[in-house]
Amino acid sequence: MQAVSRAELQKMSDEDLMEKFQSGYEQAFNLLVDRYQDRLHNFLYRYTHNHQDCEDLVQETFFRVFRSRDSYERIAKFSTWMYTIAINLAKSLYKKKKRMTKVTIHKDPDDSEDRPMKLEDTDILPDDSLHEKMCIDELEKALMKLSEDFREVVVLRDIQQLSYEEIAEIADLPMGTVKSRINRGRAQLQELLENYYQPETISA
Amino acid sequence: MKSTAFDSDTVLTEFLTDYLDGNLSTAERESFEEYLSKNKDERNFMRKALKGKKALTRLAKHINNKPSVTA
Repeated sequence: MQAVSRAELQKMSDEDLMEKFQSGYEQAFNLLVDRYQDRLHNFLYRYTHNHQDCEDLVQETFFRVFRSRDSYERIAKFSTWMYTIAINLAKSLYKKKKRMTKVTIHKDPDDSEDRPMKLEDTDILPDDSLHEKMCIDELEKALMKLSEDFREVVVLRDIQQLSYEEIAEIADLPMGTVKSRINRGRAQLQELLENYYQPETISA
Repeated sequence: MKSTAFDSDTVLTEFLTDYLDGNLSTAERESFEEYLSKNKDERNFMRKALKGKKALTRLAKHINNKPSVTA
Protein backbone atom coordinates (compact mmCIF):
# COMPACT_ATOMS: atom_id res chain seq x y z
CA MET A 1 0.00 0.00 0.00
CA GLN A 2 1.51 3.34 -1.09
CA ALA A 3 1.86 5.81 1.80
CA VAL A 4 -0.23 8.97 1.52
CA SER A 5 0.45 12.04 3.63
CA ARG A 6 -2.28 13.84 5.58
CA ALA A 7 -1.76 16.91 3.39
CA GLU A 8 -2.43 14.81 0.30
CA LEU A 9 -5.50 13.26 1.89
CA GLN A 10 -6.84 16.71 2.77
CA LYS A 11 -6.79 17.71 -0.90
CA MET A 12 -8.85 14.67 -1.92
CA SER A 13 -12.55 14.63 -2.74
CA ASP A 14 -14.92 12.85 -0.38
CA GLU A 15 -15.23 9.97 -2.81
CA ASP A 16 -11.43 9.60 -3.07
CA LEU A 17 -11.20 9.61 0.72
CA MET A 18 -13.83 6.86 0.88
CA GLU A 19 -11.78 4.78 -1.54
CA LYS A 20 -8.68 5.31 0.55
CA PHE A 21 -10.66 4.34 3.63
CA GLN A 22 -11.90 1.21 1.89
CA SER A 23 -8.30 0.29 1.14
CA GLY A 24 -7.33 0.58 4.79
CA TYR A 25 -6.50 4.24 5.53
CA GLU A 26 -8.43 5.04 8.70
CA GLN A 27 -7.04 8.56 8.57
CA ALA A 28 -9.21 9.11 5.48
CA PHE A 29 -12.26 8.25 7.58
CA ASN A 30 -11.18 10.73 10.27
CA LEU A 31 -10.97 13.45 7.63
CA LEU A 32 -14.49 12.67 6.44
CA VAL A 33 -15.66 12.98 10.05
CA ASP A 34 -13.90 16.37 10.30
CA ARG A 35 -15.53 17.55 7.09
CA TYR A 36 -19.06 16.48 7.92
CA GLN A 37 -19.65 16.28 11.65
CA ASP A 38 -20.79 19.91 12.07
CA ARG A 39 -22.86 19.91 8.88
CA LEU A 40 -24.45 16.63 9.89
CA HIS A 41 -25.17 17.90 13.39
CA ASN A 42 -26.79 21.05 12.00
CA PHE A 43 -28.84 19.03 9.55
CA LEU A 44 -30.02 16.59 12.20
CA TYR A 45 -30.82 19.43 14.60
CA ARG A 46 -33.33 20.84 12.07
CA TYR A 47 -34.78 17.35 12.06
CA THR A 48 -34.85 16.53 15.78
CA HIS A 49 -34.52 19.90 17.58
CA ASN A 50 -32.56 18.18 20.31
CA HIS A 51 -28.78 18.49 20.60
CA GLN A 52 -28.33 15.30 22.60
CA ASP A 53 -30.28 13.27 20.05
CA CYS A 54 -28.21 14.91 17.31
CA GLU A 55 -24.93 13.96 18.91
CA ASP A 56 -26.10 10.37 19.27
CA LEU A 57 -27.32 10.32 15.67
CA VAL A 58 -24.10 11.85 14.32
CA GLN A 59 -22.06 9.24 16.16
CA GLU A 60 -24.32 6.45 14.98
CA THR A 61 -24.17 7.73 11.39
CA PHE A 62 -20.37 7.75 11.37
CA PHE A 63 -20.34 4.35 13.06
CA ARG A 64 -22.51 3.00 10.24
CA VAL A 65 -20.29 4.67 7.63
CA PHE A 66 -17.31 3.01 9.30
CA ARG A 67 -18.95 -0.38 9.52
CA SER A 68 -20.54 -0.34 6.06
CA ARG A 69 -17.60 1.16 4.20
CA ASP A 70 -17.42 -1.81 1.84
CA SER A 71 -21.01 -1.34 0.71
CA TYR A 72 -20.29 2.21 -0.55
CA GLU A 73 -19.93 2.37 -4.32
CA ARG A 74 -18.50 5.34 -6.11
CA ILE A 75 -21.55 5.75 -8.34
CA ALA A 76 -23.14 7.71 -5.47
CA LYS A 77 -21.75 10.91 -3.96
CA PHE A 78 -20.40 10.24 -0.49
CA SER A 79 -22.54 13.03 1.02
CA THR A 80 -25.71 11.57 -0.53
CA TRP A 81 -24.94 8.14 0.87
CA MET A 82 -24.13 9.55 4.32
CA TYR A 83 -27.22 11.80 4.50
CA THR A 84 -29.38 8.82 3.52
CA ILE A 85 -27.98 6.87 6.47
CA ALA A 86 -28.52 9.86 8.78
CA ILE A 87 -32.12 10.44 7.66
CA ASN A 88 -33.02 6.79 8.11
CA LEU A 89 -31.58 6.85 11.62
CA ALA A 90 -33.43 10.09 12.44
CA LYS A 91 -36.71 8.61 11.19
CA SER A 92 -36.21 5.47 13.30
CA LEU A 93 -35.53 7.59 16.37
CA TYR A 94 -38.61 9.73 15.67
CA LYS A 95 -40.80 6.61 15.43
CA LYS A 96 -39.27 5.19 18.60
CA LYS A 97 -39.89 8.44 20.49
CA LYS A 98 -43.49 8.59 19.33
CA ARG A 99 -44.05 5.18 20.88
CA MET A 100 -42.61 6.25 24.22
CA THR A 101 -45.02 7.30 26.99
CA LYS A 102 -44.75 10.90 28.08
CA VAL A 103 -44.18 11.43 31.82
CA THR A 104 -44.66 14.85 33.40
CA ILE A 105 -43.11 15.66 36.75
CA HIS A 106 -45.29 17.97 38.83
CA LYS A 107 -44.12 20.11 41.69
CA ASP A 108 -45.03 18.57 45.05
CA PRO A 109 -46.68 21.32 47.20
CA ASP A 110 -46.00 19.35 50.41
CA ASP A 111 -42.30 19.11 49.76
CA SER A 112 -40.44 22.28 50.84
CA GLU A 113 -37.37 21.16 48.92
CA ASP A 114 -39.34 20.87 45.69
CA ARG A 115 -39.24 24.41 44.29
CA PRO A 116 -38.50 26.02 40.94
CA MET A 117 -34.78 26.20 40.35
CA LYS A 118 -33.16 29.61 40.01
CA LEU A 119 -31.03 29.65 36.90
CA GLU A 120 -28.67 32.41 35.91
CA ASP A 121 -29.84 33.99 32.65
CA THR A 122 -26.91 33.95 30.26
CA ASP A 123 -29.06 34.88 27.26
CA ILE A 124 -29.26 38.65 27.82
CA LEU A 125 -28.32 40.19 24.50
CA PRO A 126 -28.09 43.69 23.04
CA ASP A 127 -31.23 44.85 21.13
CA ASP A 128 -30.09 44.03 17.58
CA SER A 129 -28.76 40.63 18.53
CA LEU A 130 -31.93 40.01 20.51
CA HIS A 131 -34.13 40.92 17.54
CA GLU A 132 -32.06 38.70 15.24
CA LYS A 133 -32.22 35.86 17.78
CA MET A 134 -36.01 36.26 18.06
CA CYS A 135 -36.38 36.11 14.28
CA ILE A 136 -34.19 33.04 14.07
CA ASP A 137 -36.13 31.45 16.94
CA GLU A 138 -39.42 32.07 15.10
CA LEU A 139 -37.91 30.60 11.96
CA GLU A 140 -36.74 27.51 13.82
CA LYS A 141 -40.16 27.10 15.42
CA ALA A 142 -41.92 27.48 12.07
CA LEU A 143 -39.57 24.96 10.48
CA MET A 144 -40.37 22.45 13.21
CA LYS A 145 -44.08 22.93 12.54
CA LEU A 146 -43.76 21.84 8.92
CA SER A 147 -44.72 18.27 8.24
CA GLU A 148 -41.78 15.86 8.14
CA ASP A 149 -42.20 15.38 4.37
CA PHE A 150 -41.75 19.08 3.69
CA ARG A 151 -39.15 19.76 6.38
CA GLU A 152 -36.83 17.05 5.16
CA VAL A 153 -36.59 18.42 1.61
CA VAL A 154 -36.41 22.15 2.43
CA VAL A 155 -33.63 21.51 4.95
CA LEU A 156 -31.68 19.47 2.43
CA ARG A 157 -32.15 22.14 -0.25
CA ASP A 158 -32.04 25.48 1.54
CA ILE A 159 -29.94 24.70 4.63
CA GLN A 160 -27.66 21.94 3.37
CA GLN A 161 -27.72 23.29 -0.20
CA LEU A 162 -27.83 19.89 -1.88
CA SER A 163 -28.85 19.51 -5.52
CA TYR A 164 -32.35 18.34 -6.47
CA GLU A 165 -30.81 15.11 -7.81
CA GLU A 166 -29.13 14.38 -4.47
CA ILE A 167 -32.32 15.15 -2.56
CA ALA A 168 -34.37 12.86 -4.84
CA GLU A 169 -31.87 10.08 -4.14
CA ILE A 170 -31.76 10.65 -0.37
CA ALA A 171 -35.52 10.99 0.05
CA ASP A 172 -36.17 8.23 -2.50
CA LEU A 173 -38.69 10.38 -4.35
CA PRO A 174 -39.21 11.33 -8.01
CA MET A 175 -37.63 14.67 -8.94
CA GLY A 176 -41.04 16.29 -9.61
CA THR A 177 -42.24 15.38 -6.12
CA VAL A 178 -39.06 16.78 -4.58
CA LYS A 179 -39.46 20.12 -6.35
CA SER A 180 -43.15 20.33 -5.57
CA ARG A 181 -42.55 19.55 -1.86
CA ILE A 182 -39.74 22.10 -1.64
CA ASN A 183 -41.96 24.83 -3.08
CA ARG A 184 -44.89 23.89 -0.86
CA GLY A 185 -42.64 23.63 2.18
CA ARG A 186 -41.23 27.11 1.58
CA ALA A 187 -44.70 28.57 1.05
CA GLN A 188 -46.06 26.92 4.20
CA LEU A 189 -43.11 28.16 6.21
CA GLN A 190 -43.82 31.70 5.04
CA GLU A 191 -47.51 31.33 6.00
CA LEU A 192 -46.48 30.21 9.48
CA LEU A 193 -44.13 33.19 9.81
CA GLU A 194 -46.84 35.60 8.64
CA ASN A 195 -49.19 34.15 11.24
CA TYR A 196 -46.62 34.75 13.99
CA TYR A 197 -46.41 38.43 13.14
CA GLN A 198 -50.11 38.99 12.32
CA PRO A 199 -52.01 36.76 14.77
CA GLU A 200 -55.29 38.53 14.08
CA THR A 201 -55.24 37.27 10.48
CA ILE A 202 -55.19 33.59 11.42
CA SER A 203 -58.27 31.92 10.04
CA ALA A 204 -59.84 28.74 11.38
CA MET B 1 -53.11 26.26 2.14
CA LYS B 2 -55.13 26.96 -1.01
CA SER B 3 -54.54 24.49 -3.81
CA THR B 4 -53.03 25.95 -6.97
CA ALA B 5 -52.15 24.82 -10.49
CA PHE B 6 -48.66 24.02 -9.14
CA ASP B 7 -50.17 21.03 -7.30
CA SER B 8 -51.12 19.23 -10.48
CA ASP B 9 -49.00 20.67 -13.28
CA THR B 10 -45.41 19.42 -13.34
CA VAL B 11 -44.36 21.85 -16.07
CA LEU B 12 -45.52 24.79 -13.97
CA THR B 13 -43.68 23.35 -10.95
CA GLU B 14 -40.50 23.18 -13.06
CA PHE B 15 -41.03 26.82 -14.11
CA LEU B 16 -41.59 27.93 -10.54
CA THR B 17 -38.51 26.05 -9.27
CA ASP B 18 -36.29 27.56 -11.96
CA TYR B 19 -37.86 30.99 -11.38
CA LEU B 20 -37.06 30.86 -7.64
CA ASP B 21 -33.54 29.61 -8.37
CA GLY B 22 -33.03 32.38 -10.95
CA ASN B 23 -32.48 29.83 -13.71
CA LEU B 24 -34.96 31.06 -16.33
CA SER B 25 -33.89 32.87 -19.48
CA THR B 26 -35.22 36.41 -19.94
CA ALA B 27 -37.93 35.24 -22.35
CA GLU B 28 -38.99 32.37 -20.04
CA ARG B 29 -39.05 34.66 -17.02
CA GLU B 30 -41.22 37.23 -18.82
CA SER B 31 -43.67 34.54 -19.95
CA PHE B 32 -43.87 33.10 -16.44
CA GLU B 33 -44.39 36.54 -14.90
CA GLU B 34 -47.14 37.22 -17.41
CA TYR B 35 -48.78 33.95 -16.37
CA LEU B 36 -48.48 34.96 -12.70
CA SER B 37 -49.92 38.40 -13.37
CA LYS B 38 -53.10 36.73 -14.64
CA ASN B 39 -53.40 34.07 -11.93
CA LYS B 40 -53.79 35.47 -8.42
CA ASP B 41 -53.60 32.21 -6.43
CA GLU B 42 -50.47 31.08 -8.22
CA ARG B 43 -48.95 34.57 -7.79
CA ASN B 44 -49.62 34.44 -4.03
CA PHE B 45 -48.14 30.96 -3.82
CA MET B 46 -45.02 32.08 -5.68
CA ARG B 47 -44.65 35.10 -3.36
CA LYS B 48 -44.86 32.87 -0.27
CA ALA B 49 -42.44 30.31 -1.68
CA LEU B 50 -39.98 33.09 -2.55
CA LYS B 51 -40.21 34.66 0.91
CA GLY B 52 -39.96 31.24 2.55
CA LYS B 53 -36.83 30.52 0.53
CA LYS B 54 -35.31 33.85 1.62
CA ALA B 55 -36.11 33.10 5.26
CA LEU B 56 -34.44 29.70 4.98
CA THR B 57 -31.40 31.28 3.33
CA ARG B 58 -31.15 33.62 6.33
CA LEU B 59 -31.36 30.66 8.69
CA ALA B 60 -28.66 28.83 6.71
CA LYS B 61 -26.38 31.89 6.97
CA HIS B 62 -27.01 32.09 10.70
CA ILE B 63 -26.14 28.41 11.10
CA ASN B 64 -23.01 28.66 8.96
CA ASN B 65 -21.76 31.74 10.84
CA LYS B 66 -22.19 30.08 14.20
CA PRO B 67 -19.14 28.51 15.82
CA SER B 68 -18.96 24.73 15.66
CA VAL B 69 -21.67 23.01 17.70
CA THR B 70 -19.77 19.80 18.16
CA ALA B 71 -16.30 21.14 18.90
